[in-house]
Amino acid sequence: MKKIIYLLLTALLMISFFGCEKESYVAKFDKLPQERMKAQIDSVKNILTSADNGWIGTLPTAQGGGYAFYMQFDKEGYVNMVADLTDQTATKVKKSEYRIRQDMGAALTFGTYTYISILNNPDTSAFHSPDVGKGFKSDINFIYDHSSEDSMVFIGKRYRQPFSLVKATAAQKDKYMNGGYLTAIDKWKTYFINHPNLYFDYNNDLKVSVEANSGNSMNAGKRITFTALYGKDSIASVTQLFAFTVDQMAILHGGLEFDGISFVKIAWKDANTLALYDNTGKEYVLKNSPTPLLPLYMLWGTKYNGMLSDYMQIYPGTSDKGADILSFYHQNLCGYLRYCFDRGRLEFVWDIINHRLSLKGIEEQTSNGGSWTTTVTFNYTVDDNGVYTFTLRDDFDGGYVGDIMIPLKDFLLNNKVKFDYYVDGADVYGAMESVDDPSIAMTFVLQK
Amino acid sequence: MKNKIIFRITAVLLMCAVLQACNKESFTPIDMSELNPDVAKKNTPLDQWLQKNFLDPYNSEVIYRNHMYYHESDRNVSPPNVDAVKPMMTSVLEGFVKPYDDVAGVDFMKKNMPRQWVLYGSTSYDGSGVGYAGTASGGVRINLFGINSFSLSPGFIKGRLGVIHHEFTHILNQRFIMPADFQEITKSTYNGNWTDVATEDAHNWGYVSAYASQNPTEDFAETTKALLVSGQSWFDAWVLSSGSAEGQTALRAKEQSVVSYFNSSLNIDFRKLQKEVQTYIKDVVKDPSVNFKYWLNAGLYKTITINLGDEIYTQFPVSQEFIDGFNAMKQAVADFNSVYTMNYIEFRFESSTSLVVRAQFTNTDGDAYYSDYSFSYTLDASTGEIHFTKVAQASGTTFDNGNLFINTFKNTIQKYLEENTFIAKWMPKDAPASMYTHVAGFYEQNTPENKIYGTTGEQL
Repeated sequence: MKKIIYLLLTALLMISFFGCEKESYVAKFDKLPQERMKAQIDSVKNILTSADNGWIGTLPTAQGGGYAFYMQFDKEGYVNMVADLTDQTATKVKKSEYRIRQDMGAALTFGTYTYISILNNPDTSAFHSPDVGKGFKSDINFIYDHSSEDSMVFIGKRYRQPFSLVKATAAQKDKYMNGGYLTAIDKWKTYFINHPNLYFDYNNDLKVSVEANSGNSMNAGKRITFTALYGKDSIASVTQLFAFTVDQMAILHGGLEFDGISFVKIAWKDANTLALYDNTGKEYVLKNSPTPLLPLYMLWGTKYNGMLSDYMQIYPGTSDKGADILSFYHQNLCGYLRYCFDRGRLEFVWDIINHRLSLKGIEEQTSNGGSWTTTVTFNYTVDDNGVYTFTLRDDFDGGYVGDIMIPLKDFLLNNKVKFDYYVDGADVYGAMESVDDPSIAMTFVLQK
Repeated sequence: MKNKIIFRITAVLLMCAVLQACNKESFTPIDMSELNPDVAKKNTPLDQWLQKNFLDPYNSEVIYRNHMYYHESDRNVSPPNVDAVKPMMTSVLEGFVKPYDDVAGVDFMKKNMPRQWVLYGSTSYDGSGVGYAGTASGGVRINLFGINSFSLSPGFIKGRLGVIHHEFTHILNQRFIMPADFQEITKSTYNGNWTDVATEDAHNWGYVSAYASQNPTEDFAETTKALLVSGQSWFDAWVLSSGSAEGQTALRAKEQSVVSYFNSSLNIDFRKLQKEVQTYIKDVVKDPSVNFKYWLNAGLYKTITINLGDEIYTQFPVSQEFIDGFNAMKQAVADFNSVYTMNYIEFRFESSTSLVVRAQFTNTDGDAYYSDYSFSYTLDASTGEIHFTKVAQASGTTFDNGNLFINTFKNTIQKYLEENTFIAKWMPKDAPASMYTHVAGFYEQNTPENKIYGTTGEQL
């Protein structure tokens, strides 16, 4: 009996030590999970709605480029926004619904259709996505990630892209809400159009070209590219998404990494000068080169698709021998051939993938609107110095002007050829010159 | 004894310890139930309108605010533009709810209305890129996609109404079992892999679509949808263009089964319901393909037969001038020989330009004779304007017969037809539903209350 009692007492002792362990539960937090979750939801909503001047948001898409928004959230669950998708979205304020709800943490949901929904829309007619059912692979549901005194970051629920919001100033709000946004965007775009060869000096010995595609093409638009040429043919090229805010071209995903440096934005240094800034605030002034930084032959098929010799035009930089070859075409469009053509031009079209160059003679009779094309196609090889060797692939086909294109065809077949820029004041031409006989040079309009 | 007491005390303490050891009061309750429901409600004028027109009368909720858990998680589906919600749901009211309310009664819809409508701005695409304009879930919810493209166009509205009427038929089938006879009609050709079935094959086998060939349930819903939304004329044309007699017979049998189901199992006058839906599509959506002029021009309707002895002409009289002509012809036939009685006048559209107006008469033995008159006609399919012109009589016995009464005809019927411009139309809205698409005619352009009409026929 005693043994049983001892056994029971021992069991009692053990239960007293271990059995009531739950009574010793101490919450890690001072509030229950539901209280903390609700507090977070209230906090996120409070932060969003307490920004008197609204928020400037940027959002990279998973498939397309980057986009920016101005949003003002109110306590009733409405948000007014403009965005840099189109001229209309940049000027017409759109009111829609939003809500903060529980998901994997607090979540921001855009409840009714608005500009940010366009990027999510799976209809190909909605924006510029050619992929049925995908849109730009962008979200309208975002999970709260973190915030600071003047910023918030959400993460797209499905596509995991960061949706970053920064508080706007009163001046910025005024611009966004009163048409200043489109003016700012147009100013960026115009500057890049008028300065097609922007670059910045890097470490004093390297020029890095800067190209920004402001279009909305899903696979190429709203992207900024740095390209640097090391030596003769070593190229470094990096690309990142960007978006237009009212006062900067914000480079997304933390910036564009180049040589270990994160370049985060382009902004106006002064009224007429753009500068690039890295994440430490260091400034790199953008300059414009009269010619692209890369050799012309490296840009065939990318920046330039071909060259043009327009009707009766002999451009600066063309030598006498070169002019003879071109004039033989232009001067003989009427009188030399079976038919008379009162207009015509020559075009070179590159097919980089197949290493082919097509020379097209286009002849016209303006009286009856007739237009015909004669084409001769060459295969080519190009060496490390950019010297081209052409061989005939398909002789003259179509049209009526093969006979007057013969001198130009023979030039290509009988000479090694190199291409370069020819600058005449503000005009830049593409120059084609014989390596064997440098006295034969012809210049053309570069065609994109 | 002492040990026993100690034992008992120890045992009691042990029991208490065991009972208290897992004291649940010390467990910290985690209750997210108040936060989990993602109720996105406001009380906007639009919400009030939806409540007034859907929730309050039918206990049917309309959800339009983005809620990603209402659609497949692997799809991007954008929410609707708020501006598109009311027009879309107005079409639902007018093209679906109201016809049922009017024909089946409000109580019927209170019981059977889909409980949820979920609206989306974009199309919903599956993994293979197939886009959906609408789907249904569990017999309670109808999802309508792509409403940001809302327009009162036939293409948009009929697509969505088609989905609604199709899915609603499923809901009805769950409450009122589908007729067994329907399932037997084309039993041998149902195919679960309906996507492999060519529409032409399905047509020839007796289905209104390839999708209908999946199983009897979908077949029934598709047939109902076709009759209500595409319309009776479309269905008749579909039957006639089926490449097999079996297919034609099957389609007619299915039509009969659907009509019988609604009339008997649901106590809903299907023809009345059909007319209500079609009238909405004709008058509001302005779909040309539900008009008589469209199908007359398409060659579906080949005859219009006018027998003024029918009771219907008392309720809906035809033009007095035509009545006078009809009676004059009747008298002329009787005057020719009293054994003959003229019974009806028939318009026979032999081609897109050629018409024969026929007077049919019988002798006392019931033998039928025809006197025919050759006309040409022009029909503007967009306005319905139709002009009749008498041309030289064709040759043959019936035209020779026609010549026997040619003077009477010329001064009455021919004069009436040639001196008026007519508009081809169905019967007025207040005509019985049983007459819809089965009776049509021509209204005088300048005095539309004057008209001639008769029973339509699809064979010469």
